[in-house]
Amino acid sequence: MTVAVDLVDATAALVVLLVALVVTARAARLTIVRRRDANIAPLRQKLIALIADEDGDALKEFRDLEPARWKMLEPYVLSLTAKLRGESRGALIALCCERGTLARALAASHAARAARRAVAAEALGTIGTEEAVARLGVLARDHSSFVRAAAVRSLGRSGRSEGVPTLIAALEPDSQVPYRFVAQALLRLGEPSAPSLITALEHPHTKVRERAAEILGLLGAHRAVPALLRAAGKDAPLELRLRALRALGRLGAPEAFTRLCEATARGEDQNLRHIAVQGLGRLGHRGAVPILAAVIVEGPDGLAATAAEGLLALNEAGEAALRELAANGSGMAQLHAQAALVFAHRDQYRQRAAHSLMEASP
Amino acid sequence: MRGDVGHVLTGVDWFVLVYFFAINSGYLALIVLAALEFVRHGRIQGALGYDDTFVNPLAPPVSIILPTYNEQAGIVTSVVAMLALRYPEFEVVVVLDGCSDDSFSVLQRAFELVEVPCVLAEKIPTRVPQTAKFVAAGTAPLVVFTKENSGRADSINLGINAARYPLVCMVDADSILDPEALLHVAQPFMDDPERVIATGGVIRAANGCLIRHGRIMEVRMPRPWLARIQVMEYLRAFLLGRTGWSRLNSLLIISGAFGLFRKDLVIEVGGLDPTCIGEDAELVVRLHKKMREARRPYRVVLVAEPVSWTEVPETARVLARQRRRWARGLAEVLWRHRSMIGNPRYGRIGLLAMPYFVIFEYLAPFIQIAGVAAVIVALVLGAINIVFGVLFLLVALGYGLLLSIAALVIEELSFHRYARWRDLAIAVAAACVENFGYRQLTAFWQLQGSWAALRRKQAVWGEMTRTGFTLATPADPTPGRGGGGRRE
Repeated sequence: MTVAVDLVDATAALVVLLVALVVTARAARLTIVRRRDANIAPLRQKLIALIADEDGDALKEFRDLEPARWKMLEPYVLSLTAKLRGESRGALIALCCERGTLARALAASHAARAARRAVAAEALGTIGTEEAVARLGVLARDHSSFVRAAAVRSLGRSGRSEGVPTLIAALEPDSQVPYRFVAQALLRLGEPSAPSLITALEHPHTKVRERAAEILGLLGAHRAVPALLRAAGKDAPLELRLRALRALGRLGAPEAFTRLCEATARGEDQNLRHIAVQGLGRLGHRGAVPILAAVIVEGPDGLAATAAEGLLALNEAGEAALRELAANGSGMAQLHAQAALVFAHRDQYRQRAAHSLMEASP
Repeated sequence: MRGDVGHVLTGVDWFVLVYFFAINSGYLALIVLAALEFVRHGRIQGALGYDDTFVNPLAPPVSIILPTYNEQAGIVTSVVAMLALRYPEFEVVVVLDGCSDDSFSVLQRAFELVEVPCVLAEKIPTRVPQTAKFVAAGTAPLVVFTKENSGRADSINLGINAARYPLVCMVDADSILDPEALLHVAQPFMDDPERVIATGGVIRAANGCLIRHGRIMEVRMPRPWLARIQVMEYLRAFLLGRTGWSRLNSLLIISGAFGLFRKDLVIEVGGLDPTCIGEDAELVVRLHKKMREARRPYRVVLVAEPVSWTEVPETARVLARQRRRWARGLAEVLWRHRSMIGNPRYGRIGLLAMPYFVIFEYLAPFIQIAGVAAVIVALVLGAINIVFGVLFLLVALGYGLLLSIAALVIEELSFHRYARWRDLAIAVAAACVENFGYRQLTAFWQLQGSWAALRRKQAVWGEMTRTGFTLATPADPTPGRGGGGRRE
């Protein structure tokens, strides 16, 4: 009996303790939030005035701000800096360096806990000084995949071309950084990353070549067209061909017409044909009309639908071919052509439907 | 004779006592795992890069599939809210599953739908091939299909066939997604593209919340106690329980109310099974099976941050039907994939998750009801003493209460969605109240569902009566039925 009573007591005590914990946690959180808001709200206004160059004394005030209040403001300053460009950004970065934000982030980037290193990487990317970028290069090879990803994203945000070699190295599968993050970082760095990416098209690792090809297409790097044409050659590995052709389609390079036409051939891989058909639509070459029309007739369905969309992109000539198929085509080809035409002119169809409704009404 | 009965009853009671202790300890372990996950999540929150994902041209585009049946009152609000989700590239595919109300007309008026010839490759076989396809006249990435009624699973399969993008997101038409929900739930596909095959979001109760234009403006506790108790239940089971399983990479259930899947794999396993009443869980188990058999590395992840809000039943009748169906669905899934249970070939799924679901989910109502009955009989016959009775009560109720409050602590420390003090007090009260009647009743309904599954009685979704969201505009109460989009 005593054991049971003790157990009841212990459970009741635990429940009370947990309820007290909930209440205390909430009270503490609300107090902290309230205090932080009260401290930060006026400073935020001043910060906006500072970046708008409306308050000349604001900079001095932030320089002299007591450390505890700066610590509260710091995340807000960093988030604002990340959204700015030009002089305002420069002013805030200088302020952060002066207030020790950079030094603290550099110190935190050596912390034992991965989460702290990752957050430090974010700050370093926002500040984006030479020193910060150098440290991000090291963090991009951190043993934690999470830190590596944060460092790579931050390198892109830093806007400094010194980060390009690290990012190219991160394209290797061994780096175990999600490819999409690396690609985005390189795209953010823009045109300065193009030469290294073109060189990466000759990289011994196929995966790096494939990725470089895709990024060059997204980057809009027209100077990469000759290298991409070589990469899209028939003897290249399928995935590389696929990505190089997609890049050429995205770039709308007229030189790619022959390569794209070849890739639509029946014996080719389905994905490759799909990309080639998309690319031909983007290229805007009139010579693509009969090829795309033939694809609609031959199918399969998914490819035919893409080809129909491609013809629409070829303006009058493409639309004429679609109208011909819609009127005189057979089976699925006719349906695909009709679907594409209705979709393209859905606005007119809507008006016509509304008009016939009005006519029908008494 | 009485002595023999007494011995048997004592034996049964001790078995049930140990069982109750084990089941609650299992829940506690999952809660601890979830707490660890939330601590990690809290630490890394500043470095997750959601804003980067939003502007990433390589973020995988998503087809949101919205099966719906007679949701005329809320369908436009729901579609508008879906179209306003924060994500780089997505389309919304609405499948009207033989609606007999004006769902189509209201959609047509709102989005100026134009019919286009329907050419669908049947990658997943569907029951009703005859469909009509409509697209929005403007620039909204919206496609609407109308077809004969063939059930929710079949409607989703049609949506998957029509989906243009590599990821498919299954959402219930009456679910309300947080604006960033898609961004968050797709993040694991960005972080680990090689391995992540499915992700799910947390489902919370929308009853009582302040809703405007298909968005949750303020999270509040509902008024009816039945719904309040379910808020706690969802917190414990959906948020913490599933997060715990996710951490073990053994998540068996991704709710059909909000789940994101790799389309190629869903097609590879044949899509949702329209003959199974627990089709969401069945799909996830089939994916696990496929990946384990092919020895391909993979992950199924629950993301605690994105939230899908759904209306929970406020009447005992509707709740009973829901729980019977859930129990039945679970029984069907376990029966269909019984070869996986205890089979080392399926790793943690076969050796841990599925046996756990058999022992602590499927059998729980049987043992719970038997245990309570045995204790009462034994007390009446004097076969056990009062100490045992108290001990039993403590394990059955006290441990459960402790778990609910622990779940509340974790919620308060991590997400703190219920901002009002009053709601916090109601949550604590609901955690206490659920032990007296609610748990026993749900166990009874589950028992009925499991029994129906055993007898292979024909599954019926039944009429689902919605009371509508408390302050919803304009989603007013509408009668619906589970066949198409509705999930109770």
